[in-house]
Amino acid sequence: MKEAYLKVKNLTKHFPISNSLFRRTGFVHAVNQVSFELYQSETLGIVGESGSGKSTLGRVIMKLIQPTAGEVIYKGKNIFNEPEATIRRDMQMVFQDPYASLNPRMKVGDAIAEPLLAHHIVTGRKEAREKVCDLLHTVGLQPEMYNNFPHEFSGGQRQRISIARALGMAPKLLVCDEAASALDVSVQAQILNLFNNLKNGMDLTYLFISHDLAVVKYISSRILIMYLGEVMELADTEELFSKPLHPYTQALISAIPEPSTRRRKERILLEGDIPSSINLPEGCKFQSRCFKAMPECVYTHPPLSEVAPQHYVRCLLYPNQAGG
Amino acid sequence: MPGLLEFNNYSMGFLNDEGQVINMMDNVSFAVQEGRAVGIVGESGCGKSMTTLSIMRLLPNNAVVQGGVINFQGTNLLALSQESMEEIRGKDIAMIFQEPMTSLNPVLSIGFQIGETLQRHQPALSKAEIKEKVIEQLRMVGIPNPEKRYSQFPHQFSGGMRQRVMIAMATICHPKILIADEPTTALDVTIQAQVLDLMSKLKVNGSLMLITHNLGIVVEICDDVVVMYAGRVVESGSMVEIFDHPTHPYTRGLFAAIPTLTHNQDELYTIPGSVPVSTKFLPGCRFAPRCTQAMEHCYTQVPPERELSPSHLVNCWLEFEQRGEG
Repeated sequence: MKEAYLKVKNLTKHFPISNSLFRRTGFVHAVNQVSFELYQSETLGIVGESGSGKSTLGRVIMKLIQPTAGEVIYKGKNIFNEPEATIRRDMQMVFQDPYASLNPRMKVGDAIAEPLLAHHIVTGRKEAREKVCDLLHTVGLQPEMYNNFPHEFSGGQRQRISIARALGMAPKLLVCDEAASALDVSVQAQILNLFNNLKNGMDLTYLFISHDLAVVKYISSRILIMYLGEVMELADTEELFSKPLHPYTQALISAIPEPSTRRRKERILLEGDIPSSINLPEGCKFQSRCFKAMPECVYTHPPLSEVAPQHYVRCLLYPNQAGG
Repeated sequence: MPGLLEFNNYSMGFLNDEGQVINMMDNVSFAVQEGRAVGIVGESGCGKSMTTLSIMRLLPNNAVVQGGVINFQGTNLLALSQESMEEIRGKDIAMIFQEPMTSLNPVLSIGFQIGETLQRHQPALSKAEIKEKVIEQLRMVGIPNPEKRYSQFPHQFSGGMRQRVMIAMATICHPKILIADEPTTALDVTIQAQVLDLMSKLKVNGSLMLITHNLGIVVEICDDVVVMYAGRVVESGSMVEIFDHPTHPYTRGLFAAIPTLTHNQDELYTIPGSVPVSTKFLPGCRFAPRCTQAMEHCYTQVPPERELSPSHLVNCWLEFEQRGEG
C-alpha cells in the first residue's frame, strides 16, 4: 500500500451569493464533501465539465481560498491551521492562461526570480540570475531570454515560463489547472511531455486538473471524476478506461470524438446541461441527466463506495460490497 | 466536377504600417462539393479563420486580396458588389461562429434575432408567419419549449443552447452552404456531443464547411479534409484517405501529437517549435523549419502539388508512394 502524501478530508466550499445588499439568498455549492488521498510521486487527474468544481478544489488545496469545511492534511498537519509560508514552498500551481498569469511589464527572468528572492532561496541578484538561467534551461528555453518581456513569447513558451517559476521553489507537489488547455495541439504535446520529463527528473507529485479526458489519460496514473462538486468515480487510469462504472464516466468517455476511421461504439448522448450548483438536486446529483436513473435515485444520495480494490464509485447501481 | 464553392489560387495578406503587404494565405485552392462536408484543419495562425472571412467578405480593413478567385455557383464572390453580397450572406451562405455569447445581441430577444434573417431575405412574409417559422426552427434544433424560449434573451440560455440558437439562425433560410468556425470549441464534451449530433442530422440538407483544430470532430462529420499550415494548403483529400494515410509531415505530426483514448502512448510525438507569424514566413515550404525531413531546397522553393491517389493531394518535396483508387 502506497503512503498517502496528502489527505483531503470532507473538503467543502460554498460561495455565498446575494441578490440584494446585506442579504444572502443562497450558496453556490462548488465543492461538496470531497475526500481522497494523493500518493507520493503519482499524477492524479481531476476531470469534470465546467461548473463541476474542479478548479475550486485545486485552489482550496493550494490554500488560495479558505474552505467552508474539511481539512487537507499535509505532513500530519491541517494546512488551514498553518502559516502560508510553510506550504507554499512545497506546493506550487500552474494556471491555465499563460497570457494572464505573467506580468506584461516585468522581464520574464525577474518574474521567475521574484519568488526565489521572496522565499530567501537565493541570496542576492547574482545568484538569482544564475538560478533563473538554470530553470529556463530545465523547461527548454534559452537562458538569453532572461531579459525578454512576455509579449515576445508564444503561448507554449509562456507556459514554460510559468512552469519554470513554479519549479523555482523546488516543490514536491504541482497543481496544474488546465495547464495545457489553451495551447494548440502540437504545442500541447510539447508541454505534456515536459510535465512528464520533469516529474521523472524531480520526483514531483501532480494534481492535474483538466476537462480533456484524453489528455488526463495520457498523463495520469489515477483519475478522479467530478460532477457538481462531488467525486463520482476514482480509480486507476487503466481500470477507469477498461471498466468505467459510473454512468457519467461512461457517457464522458463515449462523448469524446476519436480521430480514427475505425467504427466506434454507440455514443451515449446525455440530455440537457449540467444543473446549477445553487439548488442542488436532493438525491444523486447526476440523476437528472442519467440514462440509467432509477426511481430511488431521485431521493437517495448514494455514498462513495469502494466496489473493487482502489476503485471508488458513487452510484446506487453498485451497492457497497461490505453491505453498507 | 466544379464545386459549389471553389477557391482558385486565392492569396491575401495584410498591410503593415510601412505600407507593405505581408502575405498570409498563398495560392489556396480547394473545393466544397454539393452536399458534402469539408473539414478545414490546422492550428491557430494557419489561416483557417481568414478562409471563412474571405468567403463572407468580412475581412478586417487592413486585409488585401492579392489574387485568385472564390467562386460560388460559378460567380466570383470577390467581384460582387456590396449589395449582391448582402443578398448572399445569410441566405445562400450562412455562418456559425465559435463563441455563441459574443455573436448574439444581448439586448434583443432570441426570436427577433432569428426572425431578422427571414425578414431580410423573404420580405413577403408576415410577422405571424415569421414567428411560426422561427418557433418551428427552434424546435428542430432541439430547444425545449420553443414558444416560451422565443421571447427570451441570450443570457437566459446555457452555452449549448446558445449554440443551438446560432445553428437555428444560420439554417433558417436553408443555405446552400453552412460555414461553422470552431462551433463546439467553447462547449463541454457532453454538450459538444449533443451539438455534433444535431449538426450531422442537419448535414443532409446542404454543404458544410467545418473549421476545427479537433481531428476527432472531423471524423464524425466530414467527407473531405483540407489541412492548412501557415496560410497554405499542405494536404487535401477525402476524409478516409487523409485519416488512414496521413502523408505530409505536418499532418502526420498533428495526428501523432494528440493524446487519444484508444491507444496507450508512452510519449507523445511533438512537432518542434510553433506556427510562425506571417512576417516570418519562408519563401519555400513554410513548414520546413519544423520538419524533421526538410531538405535544403525545401527552404527556398515552394513545394509542388502531387496526386497520391485520385482523392488525395499533398504539397511536399518528399517522394511518396503512389496509391491506386483509395
